[in-house]
Amino acid sequence: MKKLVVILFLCCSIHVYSQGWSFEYSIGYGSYQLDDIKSIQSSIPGNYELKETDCFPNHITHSIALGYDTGRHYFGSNFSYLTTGGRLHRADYSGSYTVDMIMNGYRLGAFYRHYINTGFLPLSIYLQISPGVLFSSLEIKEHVKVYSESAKENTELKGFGIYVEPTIGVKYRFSNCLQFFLGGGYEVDFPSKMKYSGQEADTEAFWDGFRLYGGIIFVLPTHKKNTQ
Amino acid sequence: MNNLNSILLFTITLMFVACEYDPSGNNFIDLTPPEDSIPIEISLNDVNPSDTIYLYQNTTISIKINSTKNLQQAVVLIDEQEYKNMWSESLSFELYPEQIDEGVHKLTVAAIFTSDTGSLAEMMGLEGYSGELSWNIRVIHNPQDQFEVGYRINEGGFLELFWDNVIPESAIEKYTIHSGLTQITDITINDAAQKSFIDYGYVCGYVYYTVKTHLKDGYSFVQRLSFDKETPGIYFENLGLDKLRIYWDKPFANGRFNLNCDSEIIASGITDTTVTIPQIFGESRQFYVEIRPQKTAYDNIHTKSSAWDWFCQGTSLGLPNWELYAYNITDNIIYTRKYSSLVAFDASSLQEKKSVSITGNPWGFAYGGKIATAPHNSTVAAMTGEETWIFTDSHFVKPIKITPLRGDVNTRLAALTSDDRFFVVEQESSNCKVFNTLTGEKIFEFLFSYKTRYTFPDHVTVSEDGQFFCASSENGIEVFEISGTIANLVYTDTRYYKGVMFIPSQPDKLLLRVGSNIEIRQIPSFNIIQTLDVSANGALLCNIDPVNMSLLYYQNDSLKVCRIDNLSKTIFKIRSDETTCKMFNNKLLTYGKGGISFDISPYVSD
Repeated sequence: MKKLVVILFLCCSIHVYSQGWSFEYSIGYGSYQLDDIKSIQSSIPGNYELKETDCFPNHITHSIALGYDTGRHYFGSNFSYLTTGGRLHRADYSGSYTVDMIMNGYRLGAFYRHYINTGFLPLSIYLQISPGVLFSSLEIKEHVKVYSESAKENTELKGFGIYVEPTIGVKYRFSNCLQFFLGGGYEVDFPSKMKYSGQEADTEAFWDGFRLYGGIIFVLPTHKKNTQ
Repeated sequence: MNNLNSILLFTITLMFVACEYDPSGNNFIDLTPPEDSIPIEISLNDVNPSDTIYLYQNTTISIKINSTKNLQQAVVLIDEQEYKNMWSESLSFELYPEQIDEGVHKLTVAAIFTSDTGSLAEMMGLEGYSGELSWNIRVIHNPQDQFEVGYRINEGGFLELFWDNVIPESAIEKYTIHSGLTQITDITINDAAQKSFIDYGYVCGYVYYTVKTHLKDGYSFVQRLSFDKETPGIYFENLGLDKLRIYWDKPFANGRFNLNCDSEIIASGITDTTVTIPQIFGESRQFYVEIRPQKTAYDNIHTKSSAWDWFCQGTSLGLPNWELYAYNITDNIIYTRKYSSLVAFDASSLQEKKSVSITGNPWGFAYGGKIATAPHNSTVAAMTGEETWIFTDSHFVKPIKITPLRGDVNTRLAALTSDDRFFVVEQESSNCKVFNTLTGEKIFEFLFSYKTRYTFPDHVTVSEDGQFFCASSENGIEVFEISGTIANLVYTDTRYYKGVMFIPSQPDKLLLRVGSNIEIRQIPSFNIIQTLDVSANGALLCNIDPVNMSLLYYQNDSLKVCRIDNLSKTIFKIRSDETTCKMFNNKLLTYGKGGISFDISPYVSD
């Protein structure tokens, strides 16, 4: 029944183009500079011959946004979740030593998107600028197991900064209620030092990198308007 | 609509959480696990762990560890307490006994080795090999203080040194014994189990030993022992009249003995401590026992001890020069002299009663030599080198001095008579002088023909009452009867006389030693009363004891006593070489030899 409601809702939106409130979800793919974090990882191996098996690769991002779409302008607030990680590992017959470093970023910002009519309706190009604040956390999980002995230790660093991300993309209006879009941009961060247990560490979380997005926009029209 | 929004929000949140990056990758290194055990070799000064290490001096401990794996760390523990750390496979350090309590301790070397697998466990120190080895160490402070040396007499009777060490025999190389007095060279005992040494060279006296323990590591320590065991004393025991037992204490250890009498060897090399020899009266003999090791190989000047003492049969009166004797029967006093003093002894106790010094110019009594006592009172006369002193008794006061009238041992006659006369015939004189003892005046003198050349025995005699005078010699005899101041010859012959004397208290009886007989004749008839043939062994007259009326004479090698009324029966006999003895109140008295007295009373057989 719920599926039917959702399908009907989506079908109904096809024939509507209107201005109104919107909810947007996009999944993306980003590259992360994170030089300081990688330095931490490379400094850890020490005497135990740990080897980097994973080093903060590019990874999927998730974003949601709430905004108001006027047709040509679209603005609102968005929230993104960035995550990547690294691993140092060593194992043999006697046990294993694993250091997992999980880096999460939480962006909360505002955005403004301007749609440009391409003449190939319902496809349009847009330009977007999105500034905001960025919360970062680095969780280091060490797990050692040697024979019957094992030990775990977690360390967490937290950071704060601001970012700005210009984006360019295309949108396809499937209906007045539902739109699809693809875009790409580059995030530039201005982070502060991360902190460990309240103490400032000489580490900054630069999430800088390219972002690719693809998502859908749900629009709740406030009044109907003929797109022609 | 609200439900739809809730679903969407939950879904989104779940997606976020589920989408947190999960690091991946695996770095497994295929290593060969270690063996269960490996050989480990730990050595400590090459000492077998089953042996006890004796720590008695500062000792260098060298520990070496060897294994197929790398040494990570080793610890030296003493009684579970960490003492040293080792970071390499060898370690040397000094162990000081004074830093460890005396007693038995456990020294452990515990070592940890890597597994050399390179595994994570090894890197974390959770994998490796360990091994340990322990030794017992016995700490001894100042072992020389616990090196005890003693001595004893072994079952064989010889001196045996024995010792004991806290150091075990296994650590001892040898013992050396130095005895500068009993052993020519030091003794070396290479058997550590032998903890005693028999010194055949020691018998008695002072001795010292230095016993040294030599340990195998070159260390040595000594213990000294000295002691002084009394040299045996020599003693005498009269075994009747004829036997003398000479004995001495058994020395501390077995010995052999040489017994000498004066310069004569009596016994040589004996092991018994008693010797019985014949008695001989009239000699003060020095007995000298020489004590030596029983084995002659140990003879040297240090192993010889000696003991000596004088012995005479009877009692020594301690008289310094040639003794003169005279007996006063009234007072039972024996008169003699000490140097220039006239001395009175109680004839029974032989205790000195009184003495008087008679010094002369230049000779005095010391160089005189005749004493005479009166038969009827206490008068005593002493002839000095210049004059004659006559005392009324043994109090020796106000003597009558007859000057000049010297006398000495060669004076033939000096006799007091009961008529207060003093008869004197000087050396080789044929003239008899008669003095008044009360005044000292010479009464008269007369000549006789037969003068003797002998000092002993008496050849000239006067009867106690002064009535008869007799002079004899090897050429003959003359008997005079004294009447007032006239001496009338009443008998003479030309036999060979060897001594004459009037019998005390029997002035009409004359004892004669003539030819091969001893005769008693009646005076003046000169009839024979008794005769004793002594042709077989001869005889020398000594004197007649006026108390017991016994004749003392010397025959062969003995002094013999017989009653004057029975010459043929010997009532006492004693071995002697003294021919000039006198006997008063059963006391034999020697001439010379310090004046030896012997009471024959217990031995006289009637």
